[in-house]
Amino acid sequence: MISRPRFEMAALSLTIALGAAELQAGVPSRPAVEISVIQASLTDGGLTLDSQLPDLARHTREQPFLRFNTFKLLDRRELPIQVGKPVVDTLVNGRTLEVTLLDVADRGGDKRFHLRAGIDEPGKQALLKLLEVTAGANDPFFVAGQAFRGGTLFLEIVVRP
Amino acid sequence: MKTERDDALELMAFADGQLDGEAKERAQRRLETDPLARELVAQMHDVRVKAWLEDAADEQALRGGADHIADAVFVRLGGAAGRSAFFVGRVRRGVALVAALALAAGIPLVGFVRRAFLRAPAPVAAQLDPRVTSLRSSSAGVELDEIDSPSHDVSVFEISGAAGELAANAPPPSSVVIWIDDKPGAP
Repeated sequence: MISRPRFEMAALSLTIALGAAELQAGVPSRPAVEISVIQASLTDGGLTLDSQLPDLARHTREQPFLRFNTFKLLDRRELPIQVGKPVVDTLVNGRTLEVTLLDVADRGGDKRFHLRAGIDEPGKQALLKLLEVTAGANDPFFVAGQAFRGGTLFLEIVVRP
Repeated sequence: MKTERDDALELMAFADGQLDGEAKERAQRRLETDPLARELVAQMHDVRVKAWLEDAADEQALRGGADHIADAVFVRLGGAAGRSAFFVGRVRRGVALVAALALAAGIPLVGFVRRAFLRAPAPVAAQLDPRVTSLRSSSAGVELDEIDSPSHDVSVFEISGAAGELAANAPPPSSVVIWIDDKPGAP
């Protein structure tokens, strides 16, 4: 039989252990690919930018963003990524975005992430069979043009180191 | 004899409804026999291409060097060999058509393709203009290596995050937008 002090100590240890594990689970695994699904549309009125898209403001005067005046974040996920292991994200329109980290290079002290992406739709030809880009850490690129609910989707893809 | 660029300009004017008389008939005959001409006119009716061209024309800072690239593109447009190479795939065609339209309008695509470093297929302008490919040396931002979208047209937009502040000596733009046509009914 366990004495009360020993039981309390065991319980405390267990709590600390679980808490540490939980804390660790809350820390995003890196590197990761962050995928933001943005709906752009043209509406009456001025520019409306989702508060969760502060970095998009600097692009709204450029094409193709210029065609729209309303930008809403529909979904944002951060998926841990490893070289050679594809990660798949199901988009809001049912299509799937697959991203693979092909390699990581060091260029002048900066990491460069070589990515491959594709967008598939079940039962149909791929919307995007292959896209390869090389991007720096936290340098986003966009895949746009998919029609969605009267607007257009912009997928913002960025590697978080 | 007119150059291919003059033909393209005439087709653009036709698409805008600015031609009449002999010029209009000539453009119509061209459309009947030349699929590329038909596609150019169709692209001119695409509101997104129109908007892009208008905005690009407003970007005075992007001007310069158009003639060199335009000549190369329109040389390629002429002749059977060039034509077949021009129609390798829908992706290349989509990019090239936008390029051709922009070039015909006197808008250089240095900014458009500066960082669109396609390996295969390569962009027409980058293939033909060494000045464009020489810009590979830059290491910052996003580099576009390859695109393959056989069933949809693709355009590439370079974005800098500093619209209106672009200048000849400005640092390379930081990112790209890959625009994939997602027309209703597309496969």
